[in-house]
Amino acid sequence: MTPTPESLIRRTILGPEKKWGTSVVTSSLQTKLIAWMLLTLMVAIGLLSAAFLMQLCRSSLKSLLQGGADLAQHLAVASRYSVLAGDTPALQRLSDTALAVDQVAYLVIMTEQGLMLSAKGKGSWLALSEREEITLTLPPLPITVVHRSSEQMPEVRSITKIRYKDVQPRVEPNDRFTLMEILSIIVGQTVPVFYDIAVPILRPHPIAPHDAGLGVMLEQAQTIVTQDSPTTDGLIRLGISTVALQHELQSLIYRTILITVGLLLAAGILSVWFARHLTTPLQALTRAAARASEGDLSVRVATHGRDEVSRLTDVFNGMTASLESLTQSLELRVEERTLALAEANAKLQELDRRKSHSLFTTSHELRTPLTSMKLHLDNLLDGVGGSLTDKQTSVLQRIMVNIKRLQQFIEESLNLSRIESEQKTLNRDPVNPISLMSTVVENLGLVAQKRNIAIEHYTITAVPVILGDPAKLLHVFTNLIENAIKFSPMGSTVAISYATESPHALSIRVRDQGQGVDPSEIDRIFEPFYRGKLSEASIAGSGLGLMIAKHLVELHNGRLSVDNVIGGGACFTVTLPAMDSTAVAR
Amino acid sequence: MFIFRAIIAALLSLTGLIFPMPATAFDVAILKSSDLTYYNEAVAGATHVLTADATITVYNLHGNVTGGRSIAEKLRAEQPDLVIAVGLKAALAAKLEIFDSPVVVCMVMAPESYGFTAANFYGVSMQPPVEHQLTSLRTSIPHARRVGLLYDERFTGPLLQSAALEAEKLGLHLVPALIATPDDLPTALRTLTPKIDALWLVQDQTVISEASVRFILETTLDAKVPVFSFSTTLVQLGAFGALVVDGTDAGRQAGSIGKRLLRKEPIKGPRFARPEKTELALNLNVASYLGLKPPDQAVRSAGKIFSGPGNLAKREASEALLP
Repeated sequence: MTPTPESLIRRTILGPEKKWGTSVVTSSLQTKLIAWMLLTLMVAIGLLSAAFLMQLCRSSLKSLLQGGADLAQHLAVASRYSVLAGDTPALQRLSDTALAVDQVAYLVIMTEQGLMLSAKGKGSWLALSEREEITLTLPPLPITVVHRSSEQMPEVRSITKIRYKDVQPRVEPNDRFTLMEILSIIVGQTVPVFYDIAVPILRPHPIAPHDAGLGVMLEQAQTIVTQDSPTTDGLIRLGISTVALQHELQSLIYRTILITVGLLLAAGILSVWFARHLTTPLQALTRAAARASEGDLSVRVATHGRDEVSRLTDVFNGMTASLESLTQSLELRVEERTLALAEANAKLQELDRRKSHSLFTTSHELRTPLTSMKLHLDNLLDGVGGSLTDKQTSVLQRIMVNIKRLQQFIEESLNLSRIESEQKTLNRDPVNPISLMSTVVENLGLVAQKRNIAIEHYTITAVPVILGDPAKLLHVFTNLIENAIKFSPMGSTVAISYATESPHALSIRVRDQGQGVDPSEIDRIFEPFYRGKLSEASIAGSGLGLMIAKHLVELHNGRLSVDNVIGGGACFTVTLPAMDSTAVAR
Repeated sequence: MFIFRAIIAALLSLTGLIFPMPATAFDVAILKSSDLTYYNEAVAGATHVLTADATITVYNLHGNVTGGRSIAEKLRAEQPDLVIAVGLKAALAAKLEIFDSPVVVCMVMAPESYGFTAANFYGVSMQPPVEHQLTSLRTSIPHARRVGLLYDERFTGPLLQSAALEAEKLGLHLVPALIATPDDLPTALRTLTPKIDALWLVQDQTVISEASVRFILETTLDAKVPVFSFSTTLVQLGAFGALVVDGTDAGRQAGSIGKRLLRKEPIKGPRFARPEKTELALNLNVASYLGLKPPDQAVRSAGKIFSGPGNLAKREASEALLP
């Protein structure tokens, strides 16, 4: 199937129409551009926002833990004398002070041997203040040193993540917020996560750093000479709540989401603007190409800028200009040739008319002397001029035969000229084809009898009436049956039959038992003066009969055709339009 | 060409004669026990004295004797010309590993009691001479005749006899109170204070501790007994006065000993010298609180005087008692 120009243009500009059968493929370039840009921007902004949120969570948590570690270290320093002296009231006052900090959930001060000196908590950790079983509420301490502190401060021994599950604190293996916890924070839930910061309480260093006398003495007094590290007197365990941090994170996350949505909206608007900016010239080009394909080659597209699309537009404009010029030139040439052809046709028609006129005049002029010659010859043969010898009679009879052949040729030529000159004039009347055919059979009965040929006329019960010129149809049937008699061998049969192929058509078949028609000649036997190869030279004929018959059948909007019959012979079929089926000849 | 090269070589040799190169610098290693301020001051003092003659490398033990031994072992292989050990841990590491290079110990309270008997060990004690301490006490608190002394036989026993002799020379009567453990201190002090005009606090490890300092000062202030000690911190906290040794001075003295060792000069006197430079510290607030007035001579000679608003032990109580 040849693609149409419109489909070619559509395929060229918009790509294949249906490959995947999806809406993305069939959607416009602008939509695809917007979709892809939006998708890319959404992914990029989404990833950046996610990375920012993760970093935000990490940084905030790190800051919180750093602050907690600093507080725990300061508490370890502040409590070291009280721990050394076993001053429990002072430690509890210190604990109260520490618990005043929002993020502090609990503070436990114990000796190195595990003796509880002070334990206070709030919220979920209130049980600590009530001196309940400490092991039930405080998870075991891992032995992982998290980071070192400055020289003056004790090291942070561990930072442990604790999560409340089923009213029991459990140690979590990871020390950061998990993805699920972050998602819970984002949706506004509070995650019961705490951080336990353990800091050892070191035995106090010399009171004053500049007091060499006291410092050296106390240091030597406290240090066993083989001992390497400073003695530890106790342990601070500070619980840091992340609830406040989570609330701050929620606020920050909501703001981040708002900013992200804003950025996406801005990115969407930019995408639409950019896609339109890019595709508007292409759409203009598409419309122009469609108009050009419809024949409007005067269409031009305005160019903007000097980008690839503008260059394409320039090429398109140049192409349409060239096509327009070429079309105009072609139209001019076609007009010129048409005019020349019309003139030639008129000349040919005039020549043909003159030829027909000349033929008619010649035939007409020949017929009169021939008729006179025939009359005189008849008189001679009848003995009007005296008795004739047998030889004279024989010569005169041959002359008579040739005169008759010449007279028949002239008659047919005159008929052809008459038909050609009066071809559009038919005197149509309802005609009973069987009756007309019977007349022809009767007229040619003598000719057939001379050649011992039987004419079989097969009629049918209901033959439709034909609206036609009876004289011309009589001529047609006479030609066909006479032709069949001529080309049938002696003693054979010519069959005439009828068939109604449809209520509005009647086929009349004339079949002989001659040699048939050479298949290569079937199309040529209706040409004027053409005689078939198989026709015997003895068979007289002008070669105009079939042509005239065909011409007259076509004047009745019918069709004349010939076929070879199996078993020998030819079958000529005349198909004529029938009148309404109600008018049936019986 | 050869002549030209010979001229250049001659000129270079002349330059060497005119500007002689300095003698080869000594390699000095300073082992520092930890990064405490007074140790740093001592290192600075020693460095100040030695820096002109030696290339000094400071090693920090970070309070770790085992690590210090590794450093000292490395130093033994390198054989520096001199090792200065600042603090007890550095001195112990040097004692265990360094046998050839001379070692000068400083910032150790009583170095002779830690068995630094090797021939290559020298040092500076942190304890001023007893006579200096008692003289300063006599000068600062002239009215005091009975001077109490809390001591543990293990740490202060050897000092007691000479101290008694020196006290007698100065017209003082030493009233010793023996304790065996820190738990004996409260009873001993409460028993002692009524019998004395002043309390002389010496660097006894059983007597002086973080927990006991405030107790001693509060008790003596309550009993209106002036305390003469060895520490500016104690003076700040409530002691009347003290004869103190500065870290920088101790370092300088150790540096001077080391310098003599580097120059192969003979070391006169004991291997562990007493501090050459001491300083008198007075707390005029405490004097005022006790109703005492230090002599002008003492005030003039004092290097550190604490007066005006400042730290005072048992502040709540003392504020109420102050006029």
